[in-house]
Amino acid sequence: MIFPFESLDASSREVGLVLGLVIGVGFGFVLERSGFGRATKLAAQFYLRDMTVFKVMFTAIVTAMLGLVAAAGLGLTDLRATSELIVSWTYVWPMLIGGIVLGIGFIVSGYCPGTGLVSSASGNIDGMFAFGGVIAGTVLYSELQQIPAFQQFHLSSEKGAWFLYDLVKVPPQVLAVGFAVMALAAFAGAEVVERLVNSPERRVTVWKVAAAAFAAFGAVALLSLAVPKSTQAAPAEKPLAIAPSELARNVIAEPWRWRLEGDTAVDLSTGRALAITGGAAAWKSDPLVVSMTSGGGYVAPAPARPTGTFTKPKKKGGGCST
Amino acid sequence: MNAERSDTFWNPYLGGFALGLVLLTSFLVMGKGLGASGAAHRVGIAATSLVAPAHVEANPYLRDVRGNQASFLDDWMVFELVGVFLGGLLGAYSAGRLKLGVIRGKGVGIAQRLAFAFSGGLLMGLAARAARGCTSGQALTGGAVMSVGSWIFMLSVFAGGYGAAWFVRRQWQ
Repeated sequence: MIFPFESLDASSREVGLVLGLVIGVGFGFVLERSGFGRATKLAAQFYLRDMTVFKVMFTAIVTAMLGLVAAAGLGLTDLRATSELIVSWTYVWPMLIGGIVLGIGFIVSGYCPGTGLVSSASGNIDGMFAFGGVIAGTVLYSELQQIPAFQQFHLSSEKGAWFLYDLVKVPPQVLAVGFAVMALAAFAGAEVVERLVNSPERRVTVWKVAAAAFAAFGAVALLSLAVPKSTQAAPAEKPLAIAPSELARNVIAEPWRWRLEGDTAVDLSTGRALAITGGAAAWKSDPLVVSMTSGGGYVAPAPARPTGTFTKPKKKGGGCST
Repeated sequence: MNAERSDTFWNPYLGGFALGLVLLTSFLVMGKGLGASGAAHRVGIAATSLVAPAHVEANPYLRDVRGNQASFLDDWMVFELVGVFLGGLLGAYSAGRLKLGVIRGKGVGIAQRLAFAFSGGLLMGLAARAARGCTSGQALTGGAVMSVGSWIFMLSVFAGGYGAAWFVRRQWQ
């Protein structure tokens, strides 16, 4: 593993900062030359007249994705460790709501934060106002975080470092190639949409194209419902029920391992909840349990309950090995 | 200074490929992605602390952004953002479109356009903090490393944009 050069973030920090400047110049230059300094061109994406935003963005995503996966395949970098360095953890609700609000801000202002700055650099006063708004918004958010309920929202639905290949259980290499294929199909679609919307002889109204796109997106969204379901169901595939007699034998053998919660028994060694067959009533009437609790020869030891609630260990991010 | 006309842009797929290479370089060399809103936050805090330093020190969500550096601006993302500005300047100048002006559709006047630009920017600033990044830091960067949250964010951005487009259509006619 060669990349990334960790010294650029530590002992050779100054070199890293200069490289940051250089990388930024590349970023800004490419955005400007792709037409991203122009609000009218960016906004046209949302009226399907000009799909440049979509084309540039997805070409860039797929290029970097394939490049990173290939570099990892050659042993130049560790895909997961590097990815965890690069991207923040997933916070489902803040990201979903933040995305919608940012999308609204995008079409209202005509820019996203980065393109607002590029537009400012090319002398556009509207870009300066948009980027000024972004600066004000980020500071305002930090003020709002002082409200406990708001901060609670900010930290809600945290999923740690979470990647699509964890979610769909497909090797990252296969997933990246899948994205490339999907992107090519989407590009073909984007060309058709542009031609239909802009051609004077075949005046397809924008809403018809939009309706078709929504139908396609909706179909994909509905199909994708099956994906998280199947992965979430994966741990549940294992039998999650336990017979009262079997549980009783387990409890006698390893009382510290079990915690009873009504109709379920929690296996503290795995954190998994098992349903007691027949529920609490069957458990109480099980012969072994009766003999344990009815003042016979054997008295069940007081369950060694760990205090506090048992939580599943969560993978934390930050693969930095310095 | 350049034969290129000011309305000529790169082929979008070529531009995207170039952008992807910049992104990949940043991934491999630095172990970082591209971003804009994080540095904007730092610039905003630095500006606030010039005017009202006590206010910044009283709010941990502003104060702690500095980390263990002396200045809010002493950060990789700020240097990268300065680069974005210079790169944009260079791109516009060399293509012959470096010109002071306001870009707007025919449907709005200059004052209204600037008000829209600022208020949209304000919404994006708020949203980018909630999402831990904007179109650069989440959608582009996180999208390329296949982060689940980044893809949720990206799809939400397009949903929000298309959903709101109808309401502001006159601005862009």
